[in-house]
Amino acid sequence: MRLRTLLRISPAVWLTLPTLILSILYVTRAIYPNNYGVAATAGATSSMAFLVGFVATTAAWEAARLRRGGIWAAPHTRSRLDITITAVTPSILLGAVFLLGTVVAASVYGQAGLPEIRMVVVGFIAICAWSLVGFLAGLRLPMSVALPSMLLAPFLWFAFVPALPVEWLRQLSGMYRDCCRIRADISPAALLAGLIMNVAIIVVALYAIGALRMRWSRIVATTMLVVGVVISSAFASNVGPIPEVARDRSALKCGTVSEVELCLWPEHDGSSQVFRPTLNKVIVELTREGLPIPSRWSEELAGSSSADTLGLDLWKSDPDSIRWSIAQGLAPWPACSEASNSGFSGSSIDVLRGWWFTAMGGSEAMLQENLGWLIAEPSAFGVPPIKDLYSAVSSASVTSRVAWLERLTSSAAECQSPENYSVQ
Amino acid sequence: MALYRKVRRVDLIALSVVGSALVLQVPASAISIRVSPIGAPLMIALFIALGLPSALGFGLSRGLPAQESVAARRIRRYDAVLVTSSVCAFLALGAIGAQVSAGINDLGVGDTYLTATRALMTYLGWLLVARFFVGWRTASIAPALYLLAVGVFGFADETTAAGWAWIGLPANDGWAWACTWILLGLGAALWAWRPNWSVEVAAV
Repeated sequence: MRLRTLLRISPAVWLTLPTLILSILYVTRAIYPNNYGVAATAGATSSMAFLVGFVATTAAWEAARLRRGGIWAAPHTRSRLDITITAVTPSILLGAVFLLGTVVAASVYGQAGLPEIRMVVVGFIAICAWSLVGFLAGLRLPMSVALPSMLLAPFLWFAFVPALPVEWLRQLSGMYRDCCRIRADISPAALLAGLIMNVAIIVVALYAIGALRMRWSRIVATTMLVVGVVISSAFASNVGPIPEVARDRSALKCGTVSEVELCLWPEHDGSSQVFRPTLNKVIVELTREGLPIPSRWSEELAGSSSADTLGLDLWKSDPDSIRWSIAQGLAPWPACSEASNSGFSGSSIDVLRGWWFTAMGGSEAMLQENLGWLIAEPSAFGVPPIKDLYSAVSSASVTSRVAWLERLTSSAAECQSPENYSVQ
Repeated sequence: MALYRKVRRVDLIALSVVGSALVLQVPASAISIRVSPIGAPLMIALFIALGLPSALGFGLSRGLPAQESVAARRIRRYDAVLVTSSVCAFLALGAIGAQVSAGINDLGVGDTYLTATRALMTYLGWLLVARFFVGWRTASIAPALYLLAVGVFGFADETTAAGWAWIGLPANDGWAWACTWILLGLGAALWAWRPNWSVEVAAV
């Protein structure tokens, strides 16, 4: 088919620009910008949930056109595989344009650098699979059923399956919107699961369309479906709800500040980033105060911090948010955190977080934002007025301050609320 | 009449009426999921309600528009009766089902049923409006497109939908019901005004 004819008759071509605009609008409104290319690409693939519907619908339209005109059933010199590929090409191109457009927009909008190509490839395979499913629906179903069902079926597959209690099912789709924090990379098992599942869908759809006419093609297609589902499920079931694995540590950029080793990912260590200057300032400040801080601060770990390593979980780039993240990491991780009915309120941990934040020079506004409830009604949580407490601790000697800190930290770590918050 | 029933697939439409009304009684139909950060929360019932308008779109798209427009029998009147009676049957079955479920299981399916009914009327409105422009065969994509738009972009705040995405608003929301009736009225008026006109007929 000539390009001019294709442009004239294909709804996929007409829809390319509107869907591209929609996808960019979605990215700029729905995705929180970060500097990490993998996360930006993963966020961009979330637009597949609604845009793949247009791919499948336009393919269904094209198939219905061939069927209704009697062209599909008529004798033809070209193979059905050839006709199918030609017919779905505009739909696949539509999908490719919006996927690439979304990925580029997410990278530019999030200043995230290079996108993660493996995710784009799996996303493209998913687009091919859905275009063939749409073509199949257009051949087999009446148009008034095929069009709306193909618009909504990908939406249900991409967006509703992740809401099901079986969490690994979401990895089969080829959309990885839950990936990845900066300390993590996309899980190869999740990529393989999505790839195998979509390839299986492609083979089965081609068979059902009638484009594969080989000896044993029915057996081959059925086997492909079963094996594809089994293998992709096996890969996906090992991944869990978030398709990520620990990132290669060799990419960390480490330096030493006041005898503390500070390691950041390159995305957080650029000349325009505030992370390292803010962290340097905080480390110098805390060291000068003589406070006990870990000897290694690193972004490779997050959540609970070991005795000599502080895991940094930095995702907002303003200095106050960085200080609050550090305060959360420096506060103890209670031993009973996994138990649902430990009876430990955790208010002392919040008191400690607030104190670390204040000691680092954090702003009053951020303290109020995070601990306003505790500042307003301290007695309701069994703690003294915390601003007065922080003033008393700050004016105490270094030895008393450290002793106060260690006492509260050890009791909170053991899930015990201290009877006395005052500095000795 | 038998030919009309066969061509319009009245059996399928009846099945979708009964099926939708029955499925709505399942408590899972009240589950609401927010699939997009800037979209409205979508209840499963909103998808169930799409069944009947799709079946009507399918049934009414069958036949030969040019011949039907000059037929001795009043096919357009039959169509109007078919649409009205199927919607009324859905309302009646849904209402009875909601009452029975509430009585037997002590479940609050009343709101779900109301939300689904409102969504069905909205979808029907979109179907009729779209029919005026693109014909029955393609019109059934309009309700699905609207539902998709609500799910992806129908955000107002953390808990509720935007005004234009009224199918995502609470069951007793006055604005949502007003929009529903206006859209349905507009669709019905367009159908009554030019019952035989569509791209398909014009192209014949």
